[in-house]
Amino acid sequence: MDLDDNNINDFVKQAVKKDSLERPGNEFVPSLMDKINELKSEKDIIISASPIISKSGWFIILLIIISVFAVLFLSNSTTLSFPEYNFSFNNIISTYSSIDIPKVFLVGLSAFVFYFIIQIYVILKKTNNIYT
Amino acid sequence: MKPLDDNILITKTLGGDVKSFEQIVVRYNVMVYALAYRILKNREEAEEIAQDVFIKIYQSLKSFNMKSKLSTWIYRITYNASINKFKSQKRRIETTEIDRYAEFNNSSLPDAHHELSEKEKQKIINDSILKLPETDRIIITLYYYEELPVKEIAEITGLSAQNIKIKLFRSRQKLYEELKGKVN
Repeated sequence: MDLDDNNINDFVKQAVKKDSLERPGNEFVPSLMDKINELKSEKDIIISASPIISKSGWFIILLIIISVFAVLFLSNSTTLSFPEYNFSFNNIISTYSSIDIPKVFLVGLSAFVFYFIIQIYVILKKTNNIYT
Repeated sequence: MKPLDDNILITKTLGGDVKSFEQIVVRYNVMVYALAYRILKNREEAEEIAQDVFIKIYQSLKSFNMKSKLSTWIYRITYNASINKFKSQKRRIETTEIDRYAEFNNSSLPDAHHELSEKEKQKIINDSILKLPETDRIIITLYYYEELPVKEIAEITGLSAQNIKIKLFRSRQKLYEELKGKVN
């Protein structure tokens, strides 16, 4: 006996049962959750890795730069001179004591040395925190 | 205890609670695995795809639109991953047309007078579904097992609702022809 589509629909509905679906093995969920936990740990490490120079750090650096430039622009002279120290104990050195160094170079060099020391200090501190 | 809503579980997972994600896995793992299995017809590959699907879901949960249905999103990812795997293997499983299925080795069937056990009946039904073309298997599974509306199945498979209806009609005709007289 052939049935119409509605009856066939009912027949198929009755035939299929949700509990007859193919199921994964018992270890599926635990092994998947192990992988998810691993992923989460990796994600946590990434989240905890903050930038070496914090926002407030950048703010302080910006203030220093502005101050330096302010001093530069407010000053009339274009060069800075070493103070006339008495190097008489060493004649050779004393000959260089009056050499004029461009102000921009001196400021740049000082800033470079300052940032280099700060970076070394901050990186060492960060590295110690991660590996201890 | 009433199970938590999907959106609550997602929010908790995004807040770092892995146990909430486990509840999502427990809720959907059977259907995800079944969909993958019904396309790939291989247990190991289906498990592998199901694992990849849940890992992908975990990693991209942040981009999930809470206004959408989680199940639709999960099934769409599963469908696409399984179909891609199936195509990449270029392993065209010869789909035996159920119309020509008369050649089926009847000797493997239990005696007609012998009452089929529930397990035997289910095996015959599942085997019959697996003989349908891969997309039709998914449509039948989502429509009859998961009881999803045609519109949602269209969203998952990317086919038009009209196409889904046609495929459903043809598939159930084939299933009926195959199952009548074997399963009451």
